[in-house]
Amino acid sequence: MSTAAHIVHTGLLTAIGIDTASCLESLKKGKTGIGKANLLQTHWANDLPVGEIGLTNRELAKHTGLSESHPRTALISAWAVQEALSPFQKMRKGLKCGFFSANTVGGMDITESVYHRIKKRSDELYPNEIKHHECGAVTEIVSNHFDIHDFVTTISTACSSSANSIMMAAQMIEENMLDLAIAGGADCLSRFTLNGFNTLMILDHEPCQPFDNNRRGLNLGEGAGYVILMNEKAMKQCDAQSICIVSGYANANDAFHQTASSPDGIGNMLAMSEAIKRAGILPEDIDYINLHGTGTANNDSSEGKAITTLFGNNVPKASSTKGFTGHTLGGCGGVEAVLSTLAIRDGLVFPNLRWQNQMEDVPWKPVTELQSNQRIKHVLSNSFGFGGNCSSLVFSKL
Amino acid sequence: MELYINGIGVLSAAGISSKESFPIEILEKEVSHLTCQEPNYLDYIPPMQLRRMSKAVRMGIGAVKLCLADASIQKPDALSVGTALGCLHDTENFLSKMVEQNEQMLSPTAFIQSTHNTVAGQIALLTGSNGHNLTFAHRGHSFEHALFNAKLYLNQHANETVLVGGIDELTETSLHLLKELNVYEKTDRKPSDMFIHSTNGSIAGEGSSFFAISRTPSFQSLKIERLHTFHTLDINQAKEEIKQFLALVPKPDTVILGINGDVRTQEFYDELMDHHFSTIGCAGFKHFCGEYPVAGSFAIAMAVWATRKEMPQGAWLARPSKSVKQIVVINHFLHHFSCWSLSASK
Repeated sequence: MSTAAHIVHTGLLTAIGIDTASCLESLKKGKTGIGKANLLQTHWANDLPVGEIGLTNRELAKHTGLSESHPRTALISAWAVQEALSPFQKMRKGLKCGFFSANTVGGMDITESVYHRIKKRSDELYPNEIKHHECGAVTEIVSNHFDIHDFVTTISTACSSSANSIMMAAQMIEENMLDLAIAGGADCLSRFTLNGFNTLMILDHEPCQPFDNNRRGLNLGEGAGYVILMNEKAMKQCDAQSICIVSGYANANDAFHQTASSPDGIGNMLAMSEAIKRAGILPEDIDYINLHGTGTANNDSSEGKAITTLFGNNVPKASSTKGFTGHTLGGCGGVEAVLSTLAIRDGLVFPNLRWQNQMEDVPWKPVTELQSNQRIKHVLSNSFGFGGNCSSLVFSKL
Repeated sequence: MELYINGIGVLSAAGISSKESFPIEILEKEVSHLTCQEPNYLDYIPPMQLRRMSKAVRMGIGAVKLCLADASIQKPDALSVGTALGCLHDTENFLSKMVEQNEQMLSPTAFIQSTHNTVAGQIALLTGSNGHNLTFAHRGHSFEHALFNAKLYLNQHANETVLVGGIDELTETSLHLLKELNVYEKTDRKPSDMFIHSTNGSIAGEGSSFFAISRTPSFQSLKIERLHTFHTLDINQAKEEIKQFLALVPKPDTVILGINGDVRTQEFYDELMDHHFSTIGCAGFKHFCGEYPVAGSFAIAMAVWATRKEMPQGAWLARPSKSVKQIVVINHFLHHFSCWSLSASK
């Protein structure tokens, strides 16, 4: 028997806030989190603005009860999981619980800081410092900390990673393989990813302008976003209320290029249309699209065209929230799932910051001012990445 | 679980699979690690692309090509891949230059190919596969979780075929670090000795195995009846989990065990052999492929071959089975355990 995967709570940590409520406040006020890197030690600090969480590893560790020697991705992940799970942590006894996380950097922030010693094969005790390098190790620090054991996994599909972890968690709830799932992902800033994206020449040296004709690229950000999914049994036991359900999901591959999207966004189009089909609705039922909208020439053009193809003259209200948070890579699907949930809960459409000029190859424009008191029943959230990985999720109010 | 394996493709240190043969070379000398053998890729990868591909990506594509041929299919409907460590070589390549050159004058190629999903992405590119495409990076369960995902996908797409694979590459640095962390033994040893005496750590390996998975059998299928995974630091809990698993599955005629020559798990496997499998055929596989996070995928391919043709002679540890029809596979990588029940009966 199939059941719905209800989102009952969220946890969020980004450059615009330390929890769901403070991130929402910043979204409403139009307050961006993009600025100069203060904590990340990089040559590019003055040239490449980022969406940095203004908390040191020590502060993150103190709040979560983890050791500050852990990778930063584990610390920010634990912070957001703590917010999401804490109302139910004492009530979930006997429920089958899973943790579906995602990241792309693993413990790279530590590895890159000790790599010169690894390279020299120096005898100083580095193996312990790199033992959390794996993506899966970061997940397990968090699952062990919160005592989640029934199913724990890590997905790593570049920028679509955490949309996929939510998809898999929803499927396992629907099939009654689990009662409760914490699903999403996290990535911290690292020199590795900042320099990697910089060599691709797709980083904006100014705060990014997604879906603007004169966009120059993306800003990297760091963040963690998780949703708590429950079946009805878990909701009853935990006295939890459904905000919305994960009604649709799809994962497709663009099969065009390792890093670039196909000009017409074939993978994007497939992911969106299959997810809407899975939700049992029609494109015109979508009330808001949380765009992947990175701000690169390539992504926004492909995504924009795919949306035009799918929705025709009835493109729903759409915006990218990456102008607030930056592109949080493996975390963005989770972060934006939380924002989509808030759009449904509070009837909001978030503004696409810094939009000025109509794109030449896309006939519609994103929403540029906060819209409140909206009737938002179905939200489509897009996450597209390297390797042609394209995922879309649909969230619906019952 | 009711899934069928309708084709296999294997690249391993013991050789490369084909429709007629399964890799069975065992190195009879002392080695520091086992290196995956590779086919001539030029038959299906353009030379320009091949030159830029890391070993992890090449191994993935190579095993996929063998698997598609074995299953007689042109293009997979979906891909589900497990790789605990991802594209280590390209990751280190970029990292090394970034540190040495103080974040200056870097080239993007290695970075582009450093993400875990590079393998699945390149397979999609080369096979023109627009379908579902996932990559799991969850330590010693990466491959098993890729199979769980295939199950979830096939529940909603009943008539399709998913390619499920496990890939991990070994690099000079990862070998060094994993020896320092006592995952692998520091001194050289003979692979076949791992069943005779155990040491502090196993022998490192690498490889790539792919499987064509669907809900309907073909003429040469092996059925996956049940898969159970668990993570524990407590060996007694592991024994208990396995006892419970064995109570739920048909009595096997053959067991394949992930004995890896590491003293820390030797007693665990000895006890399994004495208590649960004292009358049936017992086989090992890590002397063929070495120890790595997705080595369990080699064992599953070996099980397919054993039911289709025969168990490789060098695999038997005790009581070679006259006929291999009902198999249990028990494997571990560090603290991640997996138990499989496989059946050749239709």
